[in-house]
Amino acid sequence: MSDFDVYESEMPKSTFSDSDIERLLSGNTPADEGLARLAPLVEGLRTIHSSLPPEEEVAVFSVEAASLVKSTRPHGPVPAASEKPVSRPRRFNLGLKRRLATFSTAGILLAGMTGIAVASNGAAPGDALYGLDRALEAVGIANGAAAERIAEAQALFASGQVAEAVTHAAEAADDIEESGADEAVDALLETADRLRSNENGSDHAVEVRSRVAAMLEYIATTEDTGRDFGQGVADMARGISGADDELESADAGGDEAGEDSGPPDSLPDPADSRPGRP
Amino acid sequence: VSLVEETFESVLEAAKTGEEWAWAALYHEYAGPVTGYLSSRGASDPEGLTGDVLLKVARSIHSFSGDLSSFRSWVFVIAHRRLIDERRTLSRRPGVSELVADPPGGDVESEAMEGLVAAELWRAFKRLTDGQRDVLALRIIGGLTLEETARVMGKKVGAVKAVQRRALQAIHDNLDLDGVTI
Repeated sequence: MSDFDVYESEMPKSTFSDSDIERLLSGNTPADEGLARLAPLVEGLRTIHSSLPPEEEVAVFSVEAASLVKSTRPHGPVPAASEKPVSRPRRFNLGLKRRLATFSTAGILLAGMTGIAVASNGAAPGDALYGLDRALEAVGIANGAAAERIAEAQALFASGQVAEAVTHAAEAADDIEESGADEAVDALLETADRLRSNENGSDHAVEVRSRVAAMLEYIATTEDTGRDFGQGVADMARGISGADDELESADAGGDEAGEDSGPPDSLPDPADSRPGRP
Repeated sequence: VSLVEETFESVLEAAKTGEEWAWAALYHEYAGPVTGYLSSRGASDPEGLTGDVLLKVARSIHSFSGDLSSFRSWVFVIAHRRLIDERRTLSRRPGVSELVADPPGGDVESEAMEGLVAAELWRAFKRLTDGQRDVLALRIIGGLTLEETARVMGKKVGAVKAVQRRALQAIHDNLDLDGVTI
């Protein structure tokens, strides 16, 4: 059990107020005398771990980073510094295309996404999984040739068959156009942000949203490919199913603290996803 | 107020076009806190890992859109994930059950805290769980807000608030148990 799974009712009551704690952690003196006793610890930690990087290190990094940015920049030449900046530069993300293609061809997704189907059935897809359909739509937008399949995916999603919906979308993404891959990444990340920022609804719904958001972020940003990627998604999808079970148990026992059991395994374990492992 | 805090949008725009000055500013801003966080949480090579984290930021900067707070969270999300990856990798090695169980060269952090903090206070801090220390490290050393810390940990703000409250209460109670007056 992680620290985030322990409910307030099971813990000794704290006498410290939130505002006093914020004062302490921001380096100010709290009003509570007991809390003020901890101020040297906060100050000490901040002191021993604060350092400025040496100038030569900064110089080496900035050259390397700038070069990396230019080499991974989307289509077109780098504009001169004086040019009006583009508000939202186009990106080219072949990696996403490869990953999404793997999604379907590896055939791992369907089994892994069963967890989402379970979660959505129990949590009203329109609430808990709000936004996932938009992500699917965005993947579809990035791939006009597969519009029909995406439409099918959205229909499946609407009927609660989320596993099948995502599989359809992933199959469509096999043919994703390079120019549209960045839109899909944007959509996935934006959807993840929306899911995370929505704290409405039951703890159950919030938990499921949080785990789906983590999965979307992983899909959009991971450097894993092939079997590793498929296994990573499957692991996270199983975590969503796990959230469903855990939260049903937690709901039965009450949640006075409003704590989130969170996604303890929301990050796929690279060691578990090496080729050759089940 | 740092250059990055004051002119974040300009720095981000310049970073996306590969301007060295912008990357120097970002490195100045984040290398220290990220190294501090990784170091405090027992990373085996905090400086090297920080370089990896910030190069990952450079590789993915084109896909980032958001404000300063989102950017700060993003940087620490990458750092936190690298830390978890390292913990998992090490935990699978035979004979290694804890990343910082027996760090080479002794416990540098404890030695550094000598003279700054009463030994009892430091001992009480060391008794905290990993999750509690993660949260306090992000808040105190990383300088993150509650909301940013919640994003990094993938938790709700209320959950992070509860964890930090319990952590501070535990330190306080341990001092009382030891009969310490500071």
